[in-house]
Amino acid sequence: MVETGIPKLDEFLGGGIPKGKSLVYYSQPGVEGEIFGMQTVYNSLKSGGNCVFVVSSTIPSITKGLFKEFGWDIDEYRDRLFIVDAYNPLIGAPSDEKYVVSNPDNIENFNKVIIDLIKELPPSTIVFGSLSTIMDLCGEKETIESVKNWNKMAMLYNHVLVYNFTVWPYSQETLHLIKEELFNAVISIGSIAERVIFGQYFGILKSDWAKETKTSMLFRVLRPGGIKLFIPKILVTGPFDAGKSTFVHALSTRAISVDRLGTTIAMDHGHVDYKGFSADIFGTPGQERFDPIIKLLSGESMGVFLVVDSTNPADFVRAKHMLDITKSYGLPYVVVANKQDMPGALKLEEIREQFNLPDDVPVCPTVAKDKVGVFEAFEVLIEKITGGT
Amino acid sequence: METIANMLEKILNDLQTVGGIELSAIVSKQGLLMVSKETATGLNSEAFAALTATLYMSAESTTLRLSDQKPKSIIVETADKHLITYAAGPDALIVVLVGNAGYIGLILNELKKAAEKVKNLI
Ligand SMILES: Nc1nc2c(ncn2[C@@H]2O[C@H](COP(=O)(O)OP(=O)(O)OP(=O)(O)O)[C@@H](O)[C@H]2O)c(=O)[nH]1
Ligand SMILES: [Mg+2]
Repeated sequence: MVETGIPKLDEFLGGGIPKGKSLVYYSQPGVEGEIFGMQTVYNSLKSGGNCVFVVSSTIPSITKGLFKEFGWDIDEYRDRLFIVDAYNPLIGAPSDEKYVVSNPDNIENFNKVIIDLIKELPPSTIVFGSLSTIMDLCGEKETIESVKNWNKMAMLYNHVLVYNFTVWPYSQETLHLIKEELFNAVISIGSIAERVIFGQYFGILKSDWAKETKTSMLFRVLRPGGIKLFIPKILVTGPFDAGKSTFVHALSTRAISVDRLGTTIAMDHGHVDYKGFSADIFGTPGQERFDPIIKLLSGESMGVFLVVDSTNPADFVRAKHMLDITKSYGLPYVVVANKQDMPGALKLEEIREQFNLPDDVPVCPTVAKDKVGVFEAFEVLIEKITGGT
Repeated sequence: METIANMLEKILNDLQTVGGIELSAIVSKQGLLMVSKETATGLNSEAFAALTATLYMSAESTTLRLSDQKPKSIIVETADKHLITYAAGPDALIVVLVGNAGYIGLILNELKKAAEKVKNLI
């Protein structure tokens, strides 16, 4: 298996791409699809593999600069990275690369270089920076014939082939072949503007080795950092003084609170970057007098942390009621059993019982003031939000 | 193919031509950033969006109780800037930060037109 290095995607693919298989990143114009191939290049180098990167839409030195922008040092792996320059000859510039496609507008030239590499190299990951550019230069039909051949050869020689493809207005037939027939797996990448959620997503359109997953993941491209899964809003709510603000600050790389005399009067806002995820979290006030604001603040959340003070079961009714106020029923949520350091803190089972929680709602122990357990709770909620079912 | 995000960005671009606007954004009433025109200020846009929305929410909670009406705009004046939050339909807000050089009356007028356009898009 070769991992794609795209968070969550490898999990959905059952671990990655098996040797001998091909995968295409099928992106709508205007989204940052070409980063997917690059992230796969870097990831396979980092995990010790050989990698070929076919650069056909800019000068290789610019592409190398892009890797730097993402914070990916590819020079370190110089002896395992083979760049195929299919651009410089187009503009009549000399190439520094060992592998050069001398006439990038002639598919036969590509065939020669690619097939040689396929035969010469030990099993590698071969990534095409832009299949659409090759198609534009060499013709749709011609390119498709070659891709079929490359994929077949790769299977024989145990390589993994990965293509970036941008869905420009090609013929229906071409698009059909790319989406349905040519590749073992198709990852679609697009943009959404659903009501007020704006962003880019990816999802598995097809994969002949992993069981089907229908989920799409929102993502963002960070420089440095690359592709991170993006969760625009996670709500942190719970009764007065439970430790919501402390929890938001413990999780966040940066956070702001609007409070007076230690109690939140408007909101907490924090940004979390953790294990390939980028999430914005919104903490509500806890006091009943702010219920109108709590209600307005909670829309559009994708999941909820319900924070309770484990020593204060009297507030559990209020906690449940807050799920109501925030209209969070139906959203994935976890109960954060905070202040586990205090004498008299209830055990998780006791909390579950007192709450009368359904079995599928996790209870996570934390000591928010010492940042204990907060990231574990984050992982549990993320898993519920992105579960893939 | 033009996405809604592009169209919203265009509305902000048009708005900026009035002059004096240092920062502008379209945010959801629940605090999510939809689009923004980045500027030099240190504050990150997501937090800015969330804070603006709370400002509007507090105002809305207040006016609903007082007069059963929602605020059309909120103007916050500091020593040398104005922060204007303008309601654009039921779901969105336009926020602009105006420096000394801006003409508030003119900008409010443009905001009204922009809000109408945003409302028709989402
Ligand atoms: N012992 C202990 N104290 C905690 C813990 N987490 C938070 N606290 C304390 O609990 C108090 C309340 O914490 P906040 O984070 O302000 O609580 P909140 O839920 O945001 O409160 P409101 O916004 O007023 O509803 C503070 O004094 C914290 O230091 C914890 O894990 N253990
Ligand atoms: Mg608080």
